Amino acid sequence: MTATFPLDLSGASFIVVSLLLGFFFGFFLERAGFSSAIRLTGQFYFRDWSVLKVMFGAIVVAMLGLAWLSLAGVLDFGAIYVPETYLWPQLVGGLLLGAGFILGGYCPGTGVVAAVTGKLDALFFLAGIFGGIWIFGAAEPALHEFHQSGARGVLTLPQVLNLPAGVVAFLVTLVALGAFWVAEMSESRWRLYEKTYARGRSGAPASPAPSQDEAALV
Amino acid sequence: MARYAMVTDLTRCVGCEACTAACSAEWDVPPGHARTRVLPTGPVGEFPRLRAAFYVAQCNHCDRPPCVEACPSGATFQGPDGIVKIDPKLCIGCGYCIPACPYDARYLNPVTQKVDKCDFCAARLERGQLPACVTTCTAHAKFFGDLEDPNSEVYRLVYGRGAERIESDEVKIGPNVYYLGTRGEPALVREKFAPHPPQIPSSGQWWERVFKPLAFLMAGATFLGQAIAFFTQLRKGESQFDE
Amino acid sequence: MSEQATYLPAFSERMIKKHHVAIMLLHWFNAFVWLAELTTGAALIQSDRFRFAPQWYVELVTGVFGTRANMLRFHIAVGLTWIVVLAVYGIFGWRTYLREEVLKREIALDRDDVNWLRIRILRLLGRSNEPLPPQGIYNAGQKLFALTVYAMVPLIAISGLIMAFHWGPASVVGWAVVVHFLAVAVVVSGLMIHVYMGAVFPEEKPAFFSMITGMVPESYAYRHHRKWWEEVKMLERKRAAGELEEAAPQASSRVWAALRAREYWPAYWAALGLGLTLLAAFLLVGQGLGASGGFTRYLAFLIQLVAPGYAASHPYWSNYVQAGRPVLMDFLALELIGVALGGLVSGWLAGRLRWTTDRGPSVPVRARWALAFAGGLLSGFGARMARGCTSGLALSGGATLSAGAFVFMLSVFAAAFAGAYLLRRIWL
Repeated sequence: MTATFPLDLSGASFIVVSLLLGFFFGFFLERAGFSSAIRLTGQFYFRDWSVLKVMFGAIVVAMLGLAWLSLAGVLDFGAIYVPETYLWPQLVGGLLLGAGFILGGYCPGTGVVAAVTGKLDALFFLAGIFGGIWIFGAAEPALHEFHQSGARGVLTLPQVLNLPAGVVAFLVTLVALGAFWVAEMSESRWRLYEKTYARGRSGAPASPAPSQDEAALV
Repeated sequence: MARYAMVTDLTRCVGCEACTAACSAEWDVPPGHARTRVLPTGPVGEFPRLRAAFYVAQCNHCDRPPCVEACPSGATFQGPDGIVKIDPKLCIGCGYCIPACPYDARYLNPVTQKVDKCDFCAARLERGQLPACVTTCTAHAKFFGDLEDPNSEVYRLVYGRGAERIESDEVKIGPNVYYLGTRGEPALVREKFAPHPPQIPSSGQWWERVFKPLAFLMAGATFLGQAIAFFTQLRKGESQFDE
Repeated sequence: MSEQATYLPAFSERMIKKHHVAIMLLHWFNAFVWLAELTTGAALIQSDRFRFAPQWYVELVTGVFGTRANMLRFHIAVGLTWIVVLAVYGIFGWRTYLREEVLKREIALDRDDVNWLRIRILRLLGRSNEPLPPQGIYNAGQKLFALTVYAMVPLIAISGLIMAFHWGPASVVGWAVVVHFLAVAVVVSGLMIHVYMGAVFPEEKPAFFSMITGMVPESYAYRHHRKWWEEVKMLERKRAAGELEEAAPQASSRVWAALRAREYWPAYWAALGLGLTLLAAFLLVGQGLGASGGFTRYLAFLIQLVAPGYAASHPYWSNYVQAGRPVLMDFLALELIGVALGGLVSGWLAGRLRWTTDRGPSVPVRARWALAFAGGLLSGFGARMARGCTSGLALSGGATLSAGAFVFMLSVFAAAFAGAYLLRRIWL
């Protein structure tokens, strides 16, 4: 049996599907509150863990979906594009993007969503992205050797760990659940702290109405 | 435009089935199916005047192909070069075309769930190669070429040496695969493997005889009713709802 | 309008609510799907034996899509979307919509309805002057059409799936073809009346507008849907008298409330939505979502526009600018437009569209802009260095368990946490 997915779309249906997928991508990013630099950067001050929760949650959902569908024979995983591993440029690129994230308040995808909802700073961020890409593109011939270094081709965690893909998926799910637990603990601590000592301090993220217990502590 | 044809010399064919093997390998035909088959007629007549031949069966790329008409999705079509092809992207595997072929040249590929048959190795032709069965034939019994080209081998064999079509009294749809014989081999094949009239599966017959007229009747009746309503309204004004 | 006033002077032009917004959205979604599917479906039937549409029509529509295979893919893609949307409506709206609305009010024919049908036909033929019996929120004709549609839709969906995915042997697929055609023909017969009534028939104009505004004039409700009008009046009277408890929110309005909520969604809901979108991207286009790749495409497009020679010969930009393949005919470039639209619609629904600058308490606006630009520079450069950003590499690569994606993810978080400490004056 040949697998049904992935589809091989072209022409009008490809355009419509691409736009629709982007629509839902942008929609859910905005719903998660990722159009706000305050909320996004809150992650790195342990105030608001939604960056971690949304990212890990989405990875786990998609990963488990891919695993089940290829197990059921509906999906041909070999035809799915897996980003290739280039160890050193990805390490350094990650550091640069992380620094840009905390400096600028957004990452490229969230910057778009922030800009369309009226964040002026996000417009500057997007302009910066175009500049950064341009600089990299122009400088790539000089950086070419580094850009290609550490090439490992399509390398996946199951290959690195020498474990079956199902086991790795299970482990990643466990790690994600652990991370969610840490996130919930940390957020509840922060809310308590905010209620107790830092009430009304500007720049604090909008927190939901205090529960009975928290209110009693004030 | 070319008009492709194939000629099989039945006096040379030894029934080795190398053509079937080469074709199946070329086109990834699953076991138990074939795009081209070698069918022995078996001995005919009385000893010692026995005769026998091998019928090399395949799609005949007919001039008036009933399979094209039978295909609801338009997956089966005839190109300007006369080759009848199947577009796998359009085939839904309904199988209407299989009994429609008088020569039983089509099969449903159980792997792809789509119908498949000989296409004169169209992909090889584009690369300038001959069909796989022609290049493989151990007895050099198969010839392929353009019937509109007077210099071609097939032109000489068909118009010069009188290669024959396999047709029956009921089925004359212009097949483009010809058979050559010196001692009446084509006639023997015609006798043993006569093409049957095109058939439709029962679902297709129901559609054609009952449901399609019914669908038109239904749509026509509502359209008529609506037209009556419209003109009544025009005549009487909008007083329909007055009480 | 003056006509109504002459014989129904008691009613003002007061409007009463007829349709929930979810129903209106579903109606227009359905209308779009039927238009698209009938247009392509009629052109997909090719052979003389089966074809309804003339050959020139088949060629015209095929021309729009380029190839017949594209047209079939479009037909299947729209059909699948339709099935999924209807299934979601059916599952989430089972209690409030399917059971309460559909079974009790949309398709259940009573004695009045049967009489109404008889008299309606006789009156149209000019054979009767009997008054029409009073009708509920839907009249008998509408109920009959709804009944037909609800019976045919599952047949169309299942036979379509069988044909699209070759479920079953050839005989089953062969019957699916017949069922698909026949069920569509039945619906189309009813659809002709439905469209005529809605779009042409002057008396039913308010019904047409009610599918846009959700409201009908009270006079229309009184004359055409008397029993429903009485129900509405009864409810209004009870509510005014304080006898009626406010009903619990309905499922469909809960969805609506979630869409219109001013707060952000709980992170796990957004994660589920994002994860399913990502999964859909893998299934439909074979690759994950992304952002920086789209930016690069647009930049390459601009460079090609300004300096085509430079773009084609440059060792980096020439990767994007290739002859015979439009730079922007790319999943990531198209998807980015969708991202902007999706963010806009989401923000608009939640009332979050506002010109502001997000900044920490001690950073002036202009300084924040400069910082954002600098951050963008670093991000853009870093994303291209790593061959992807948080979406394209970390998210999509993470879901496919790419080793590089996890390296990238760790270094992003490491740098951001370290930077957060160093730059705490910006945000705290």
